[in-house]
Amino acid sequence: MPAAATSRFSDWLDTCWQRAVELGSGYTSESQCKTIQGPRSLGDVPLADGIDAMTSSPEMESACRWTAMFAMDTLPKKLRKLVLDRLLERDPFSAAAVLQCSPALDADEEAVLRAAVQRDFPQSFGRITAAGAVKRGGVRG
Amino acid sequence: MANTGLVIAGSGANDASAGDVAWTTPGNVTASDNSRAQAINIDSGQTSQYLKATGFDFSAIPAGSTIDGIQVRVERSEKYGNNNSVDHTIQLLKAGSRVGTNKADTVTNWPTTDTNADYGGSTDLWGTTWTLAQIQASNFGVSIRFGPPTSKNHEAYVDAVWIKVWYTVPTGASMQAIFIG
Repeated sequence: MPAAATSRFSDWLDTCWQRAVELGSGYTSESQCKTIQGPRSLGDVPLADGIDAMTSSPEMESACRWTAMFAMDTLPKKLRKLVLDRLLERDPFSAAAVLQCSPALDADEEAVLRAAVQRDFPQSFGRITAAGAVKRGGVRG
Repeated sequence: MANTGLVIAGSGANDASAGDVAWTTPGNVTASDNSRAQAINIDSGQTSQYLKATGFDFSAIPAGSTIDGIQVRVERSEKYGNNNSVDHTIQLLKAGSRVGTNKADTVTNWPTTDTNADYGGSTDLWGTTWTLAQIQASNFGVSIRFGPPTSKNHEAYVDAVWIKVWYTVPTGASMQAIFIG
């Protein structure tokens, strides 16, 4: 899905749900996917407002993390930055997971994540980034 | 340099300050007996909350000793053992708060059968400093957080947690021990 193809938060969540189905083999209803279900409570708001609210909510930290791991390519650049900034602010240790799993990072985002991983996991930085290269080229879900 | 041998946790608790899925029966980390602390139904992108293992009995370390290194051993397993079933946080607790280096292995999946994972070692202070009083405090320990997996319905288990401490006995105390026998 091209970035910013939708301007409504609920439409974007529909896209995320479809991706969750693709990645997490076995999902048959959205109620099973707690990560996506949480942000539904924000309602049908403009995409930017929804992303802002979702990434600000401690209760939706996993949705923020999930977006960084799997759905960066569905967001415009400005919102991608917001997702990463807020995730790293709240949970910097997730940088390694995002770096290893996301297939859709640009060079700037990857540099930010590499710096966070190198800072927090210096002893295993090489292993993480090497494994990340493998995972991102293959298995995702 | 002397060490305590592996000392098992005296208590376990869930810490809900971050993460999605709570650890149930956290007190089960006090024995390697296949009764486990468990975090059940961890969804894609989610993590467990923190599992705090504390109450390690290091009373045998002589007064005045300096702390040289700390090793943590976690006996853990996971339902599937794949799809980023990894450590999120392995961090020591000083006075009950997470401090120092996060030694999480964010590459190696937790296996499907109970397996020990070791962190730290004889000269590793985990990026901070330690006094004997801090080590002997009841709220010294380790905090463990799992995930985030990339698929649904993961289940993380911890059967037991041990800590081993290396220390140097002050010269006077060593001589006293020799003379006393």
